[in-house]
Amino acid sequence: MAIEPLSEIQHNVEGEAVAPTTTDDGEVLSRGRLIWRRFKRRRSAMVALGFIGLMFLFAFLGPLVIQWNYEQIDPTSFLEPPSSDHWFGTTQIGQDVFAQTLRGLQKSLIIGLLVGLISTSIAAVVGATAGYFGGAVERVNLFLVSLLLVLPDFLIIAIISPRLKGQSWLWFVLLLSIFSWTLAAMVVHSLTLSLRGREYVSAARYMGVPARTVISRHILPNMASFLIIDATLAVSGAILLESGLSYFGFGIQPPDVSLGTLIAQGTASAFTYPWLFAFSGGILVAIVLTVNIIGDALRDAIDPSSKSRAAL
Amino acid sequence: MTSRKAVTSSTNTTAPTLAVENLSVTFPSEGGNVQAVRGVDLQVGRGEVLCIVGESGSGKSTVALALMGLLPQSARVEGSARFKGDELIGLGDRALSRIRGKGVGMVFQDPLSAFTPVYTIGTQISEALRVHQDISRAQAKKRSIELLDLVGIPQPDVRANAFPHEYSGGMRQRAMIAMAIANDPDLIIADEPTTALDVTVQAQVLEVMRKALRETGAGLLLITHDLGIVAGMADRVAVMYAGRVVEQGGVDEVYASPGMPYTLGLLGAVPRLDATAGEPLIPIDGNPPSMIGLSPGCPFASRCPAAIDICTTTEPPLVEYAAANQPDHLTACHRSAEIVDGQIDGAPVFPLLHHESLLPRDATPRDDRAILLIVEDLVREYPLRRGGVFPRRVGTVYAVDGVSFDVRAGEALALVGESGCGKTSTVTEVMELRTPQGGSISVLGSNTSQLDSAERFRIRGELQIVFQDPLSSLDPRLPVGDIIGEPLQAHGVDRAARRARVSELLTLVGLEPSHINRYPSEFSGGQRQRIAIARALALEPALVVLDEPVSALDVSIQAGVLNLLADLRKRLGLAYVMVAHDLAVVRLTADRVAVMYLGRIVEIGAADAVFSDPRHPYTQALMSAVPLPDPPLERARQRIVLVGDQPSPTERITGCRFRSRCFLYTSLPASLQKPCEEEEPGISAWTAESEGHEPDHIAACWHAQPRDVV
Repeated sequence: MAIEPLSEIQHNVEGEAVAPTTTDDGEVLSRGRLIWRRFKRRRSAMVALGFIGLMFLFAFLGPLVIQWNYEQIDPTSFLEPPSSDHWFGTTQIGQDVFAQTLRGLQKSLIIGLLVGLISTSIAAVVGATAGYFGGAVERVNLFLVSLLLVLPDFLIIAIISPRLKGQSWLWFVLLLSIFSWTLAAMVVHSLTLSLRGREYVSAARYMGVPARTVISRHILPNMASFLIIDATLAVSGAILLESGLSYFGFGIQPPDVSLGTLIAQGTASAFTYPWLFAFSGGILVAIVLTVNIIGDALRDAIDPSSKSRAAL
Repeated sequence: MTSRKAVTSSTNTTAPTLAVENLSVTFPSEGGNVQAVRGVDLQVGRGEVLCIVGESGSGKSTVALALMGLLPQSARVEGSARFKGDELIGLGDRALSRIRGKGVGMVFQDPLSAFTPVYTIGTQISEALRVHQDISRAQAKKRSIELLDLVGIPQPDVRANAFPHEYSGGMRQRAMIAMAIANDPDLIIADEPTTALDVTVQAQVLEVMRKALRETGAGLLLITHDLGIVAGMADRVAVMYAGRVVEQGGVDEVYASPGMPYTLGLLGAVPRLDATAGEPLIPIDGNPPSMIGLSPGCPFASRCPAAIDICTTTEPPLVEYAAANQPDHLTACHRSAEIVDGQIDGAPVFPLLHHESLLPRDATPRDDRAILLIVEDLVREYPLRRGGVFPRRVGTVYAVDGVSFDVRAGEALALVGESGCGKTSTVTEVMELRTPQGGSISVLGSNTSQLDSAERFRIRGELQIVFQDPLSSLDPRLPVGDIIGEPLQAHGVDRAARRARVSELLTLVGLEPSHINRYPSEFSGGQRQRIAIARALALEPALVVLDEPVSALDVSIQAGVLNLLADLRKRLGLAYVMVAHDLAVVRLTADRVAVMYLGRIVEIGAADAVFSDPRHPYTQALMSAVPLPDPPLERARQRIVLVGDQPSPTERITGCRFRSRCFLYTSLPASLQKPCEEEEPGISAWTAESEGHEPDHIAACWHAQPRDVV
């Protein structure tokens, strides 16, 4: 049998040389572990991941350590700038800004990440099943999408959210998710239509791979760049939408706080008493940036032909 | 350089129409400069046909584009190209336009993009005439109709008013030739003019090309990858590899005694129609080098079985071949002086690794073997819809229209036919394992219309497919280990067993097991197809469907894959259903052949019987149209050139569906033509049994006659 020996330099589609990017040490890696390995090579992504982890620790462990509670009022200091007593200063009525920021961060982190995750997952499932199965499934799914697209989301959230008073704020997360997946689902649907005709999808079907596996293994990973970008945008979008809603008095209600309500309260005095605004605003920007960096790195790790990977 | 002087001096006596000297083309790219063409010297004499042959990436098309000034702005072109003494390189677009079309005619690979879609063909040819000649509109129109008639467009006065999309591919290419010769050029440059066409249409177009050359007396620079076309068309041939000409000379001379191992290898790797079944091809190991940052030395050295130390350090110049019978035979090889008749010191440069036949030795008669697949009167129709908002059905595409065949254990059946004949639709229907629109399919004894899902799942494990293009059949996001392991995982093989099996399969198809974590994009085309084959074999299927398994691959790579397929069948006792448009490709592997035309099988039988004694006129025409890579033989062949194109599969044809193109029908007296017009011949209208041959060879023709076609 004649064998084509593998040369050290491999050729990709265009005939350009690409250096082998994976180690051929004989260890068999599943896709998940390969992606993790490639993700780890990106230092900025690891830093961003660490930062998000730190934020979580900070947000949930922080309140246990400090002496102030976010509702508590310190009658000895009103509108004090940052000091050793109040690290981020105090508000007009003597609440500790540091404690409030931590509380807001808790809410916003969870709302943002959950909404991003939930809405992109709904979009992926609804869009991909519509595109893959066609027929009645497609018609029902697309009808649902069109229906949600024509409903004015801000108004509906505004109407429903007062009824959620007293309920868990997780309902609010669900409400935000329900209105933020529709456009992405349309895109996923059309991407699926083009991927469904690919021969590797036929090949998988012909070897007896069940539909849900075909969708999760072949269809969704091949639109990973879109899904990840969508998810990262949804994270920042949700945090901002929540801030917007809270600003108008829906969503998170006082005395509870979120980054959105803090920013809303702080904007008026952003220049005169900057500590009211700068800490919560800065943290929001940092979170959105970090999520984007992680998304970028994840996309490159999943896509083997990604250009930016070659620069590593 | 002394070597280059030798080249020019040998043809100095007659001033060449085109003289290319030391032409180099470099493209800047992200990874570095791509040296697509590296110092090419060529001459095309008056009325001479020079073919440039090479594999993809050898720089052959870049040479043509550089000559016509059609390279992108970023390309750096150096050297000289003189057309009748005038320098072409470095001319501006305006100056070149005066030469293009008038002095030099051009024919491209894709004629659809070469014509403007919004003007009629007649207008475009007239325009080409009026740009370069001072003639009236009416004269130009008359001349363009004459030209269309010359290239064999039926009803040229009517067709001249048709738009490009109303022409079929073959007609468009002929119209392109008409435009190329409109201004009586001295040179025609044709870049892969028939690559996009079916083989019978290719024969028509090549015939027109020859006629056009006779009429105009022009020289032809023909760029192709097909060694068969070169054998039939060329006076001289230049073989290109890695941006350089590595061998050049008279076509008979080069084919008979190549002096460069690459040419030798290429000629040995081409599947031939006239080969013996089971005779292994001789593949060239390895892949062409990257054109970025070429290492010093001969670019072929890493693949050359005769490479010695100097080959890796110094690139050999193109010099006269010592063992040549003709003075203008040049080769670029350090050892060419030792190569005589493809041998060095009596040993062949490309040793055959094993001399055994690749056909299985199983001698069980066909009738005693288990039946794996029965397809009976299979029908597949697609609705033809018009209208965007409210689509309505305006017709039906009869893609598969009553196909019957069976496949037995350990057997390789080839379904052969041109594009649109329904061969891929047939195997898709089989793979779907659902109730067909008409007829029946039974796989491993189970009828597909009665399968429950558990049974269907079990059969999916026994029935596997390898697609045409490994680039699209392998998920780019999955590492190779997961790709090959996918069928195993779907059928519940646990992780450890899967891992062992994947390594075993990689070795089986000739790849390194250590490359298990790589992605498909890190492999070359041939290697990717091997991965697809490994995946198909993972579950040890009984029947493998091969849908054009090598048509996306280069000749030197395809030989290795064909050998592998034949070898695997022999070793594992597989049965194949092989879909192909190229008869030569199936010669190595197939032991039965079914020829399809317009949704029907027109001839089926044992491969040896069909290849040696084809009976249906379409089979005969198809075989006759396949060019042989053997210049004297190819020139001497009596070619059957079919008229017209395959009718649209949306029409219902009464009588024989091949009648409109049948040369036999036209030669018959009216009384014998009658059955062809009135009644469609069944698949066994002619049987070999009736003539006392083996019973297993039948053809759908009322008047089947033997005919010498190879």
